[in-house]
Amino acid sequence: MKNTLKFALTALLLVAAPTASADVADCVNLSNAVKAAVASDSSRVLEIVASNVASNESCACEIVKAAIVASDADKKQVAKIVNAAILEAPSQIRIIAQCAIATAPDAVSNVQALLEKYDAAGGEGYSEKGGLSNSKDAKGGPARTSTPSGANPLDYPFQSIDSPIQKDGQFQPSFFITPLEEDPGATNLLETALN
Amino acid sequence: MKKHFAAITAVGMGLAGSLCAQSLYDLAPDQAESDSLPLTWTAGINVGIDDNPTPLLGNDDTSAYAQGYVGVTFLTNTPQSTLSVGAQIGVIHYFDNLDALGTDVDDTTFTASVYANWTHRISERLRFVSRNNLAYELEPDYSTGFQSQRQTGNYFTYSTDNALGYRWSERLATYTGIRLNGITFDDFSGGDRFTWTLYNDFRYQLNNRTVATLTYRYSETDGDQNVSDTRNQFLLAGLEHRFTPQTTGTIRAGVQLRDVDGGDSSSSSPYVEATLRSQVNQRFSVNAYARYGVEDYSRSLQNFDIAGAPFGVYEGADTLRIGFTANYQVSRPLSLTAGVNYASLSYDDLITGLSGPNSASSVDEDLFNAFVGFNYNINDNLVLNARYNYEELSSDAGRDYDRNRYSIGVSTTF
Repeated sequence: MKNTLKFALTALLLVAAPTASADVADCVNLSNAVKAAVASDSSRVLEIVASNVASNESCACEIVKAAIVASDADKKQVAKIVNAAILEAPSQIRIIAQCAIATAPDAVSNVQALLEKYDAAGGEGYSEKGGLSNSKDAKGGPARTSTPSGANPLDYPFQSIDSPIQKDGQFQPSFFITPLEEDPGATNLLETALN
Repeated sequence: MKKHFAAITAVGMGLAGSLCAQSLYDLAPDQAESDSLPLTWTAGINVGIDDNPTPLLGNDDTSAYAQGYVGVTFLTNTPQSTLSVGAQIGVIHYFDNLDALGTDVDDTTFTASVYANWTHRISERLRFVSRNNLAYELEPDYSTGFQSQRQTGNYFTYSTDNALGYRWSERLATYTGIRLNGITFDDFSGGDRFTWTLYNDFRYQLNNRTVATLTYRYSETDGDQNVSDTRNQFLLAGLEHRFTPQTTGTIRAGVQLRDVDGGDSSSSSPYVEATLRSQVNQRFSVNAYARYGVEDYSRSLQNFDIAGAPFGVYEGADTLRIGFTANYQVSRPLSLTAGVNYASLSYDDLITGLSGPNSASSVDEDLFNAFVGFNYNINDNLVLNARYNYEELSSDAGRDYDRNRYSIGVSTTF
């Protein structure tokens, strides 16, 4: 009986190993493809992350890592990349955040701030102990429940970390339009574009 | 001068309270600010040429002008609460003595604006959103949807929109709120309006990218002088969709039910409003709006094409508004900006009991406004800017005008 069980387990491992390694290989290939795409046009890094994570959720970690490295992202850009990935694969929020922090440890506070926004919107919380936790363990705010999608119907579509345009709230005198540089988010985009 | 003082006083009081900005670009509140911003001051001056400073009144004498302004903004953001406030005061002076139809017009006008947006997440399910603004201005901001011509003299607009949002389930939420808004003119009779609106939005999360909405609004608008009061109901279905991480759109469409005091009967008409925002790439952003519906703001006008120039009052104006602004960052110091506002108005259903004799049964007007300019960063906190602004009104009522403005200025932020 023991031998039968051993043979069965061995056979299972032999069958599963190529499949698992194939998955890993797929993610590695995808990571390389993302690096090449971002390197060729860093202005599209968020779109590249979004489209690839949407079609390959299980490779979200590798995609985020590759995008951060290939775009030489600063702290704010890391948060934007993480945000783009989470929006496409909310169920991978933990692994996406962990992979980003592992690749860009300097951006830990930016990623944490992003996670807090999702937490406030009804997503999951970030534990002060240094790891992701369920919202019931999160401190500093009302108890929250996570949703399968991570989205909150109370949020408006423009409520994202990466505002697509300048703030409407900025005052624009009748004959004056606020220059792009005065938008902190846009400034960062500009820095990326010109460097 | 008393009106100037009153407006500035109101702005000062607004600063102490809770106030903010709304426009057709902003159908859904922009709560995107992610980082708190310190108190930031902006000050600047512009000089320019205006070839038609009192356009509706037929005086197209060119005049040079100068403008000065100082403003302040502040943003604080925590997981529970986001508050942004701003205020600005300014002055515009025309160097030539302005007159219209033989009457002197103020050469110097003061402007002031203040806004405050507040979103407070009371709990995981309950949220309070407040958007408020006051503005005492000379030049119309067509993107607010209030005006369709440049009137003579200043106007004062105000709006406070307060809503309570509740998440009933993972996918379903509602916003229930009240909005008070209005406009008053210093030198334009019959143009003042006050509107209160009750509304409820049902919001259903279809997926990560899309929220379906079902909106009901009830509003009452007080007219001014001969312009009668109205009641409107809106039943709208809509979508809010994120096309890409940096492109979002909102559309609401449905029916507008309308009842006008002194009008023939209740009426219904289609109603559509939409916005699109996109950071196309790192250098180029565009922001657009469109709205079609029956408006209460432009319901009366004097028709100069008819003998005696009778004053006509209409049940409403079928109005289409379309606009966009775009910004392109050419290089680190230089950015280009451009925009268009277009409004097509059809004044329909003359109220004969409130109108002068021989008034036209309907009048059509089209307003086209466009601007182009640049900003050039001279150094870290000094910006040189220039603008060209063209405006044209085509009117069946004999009050066509066109207007060109050129300006150049500098501003500083600290």
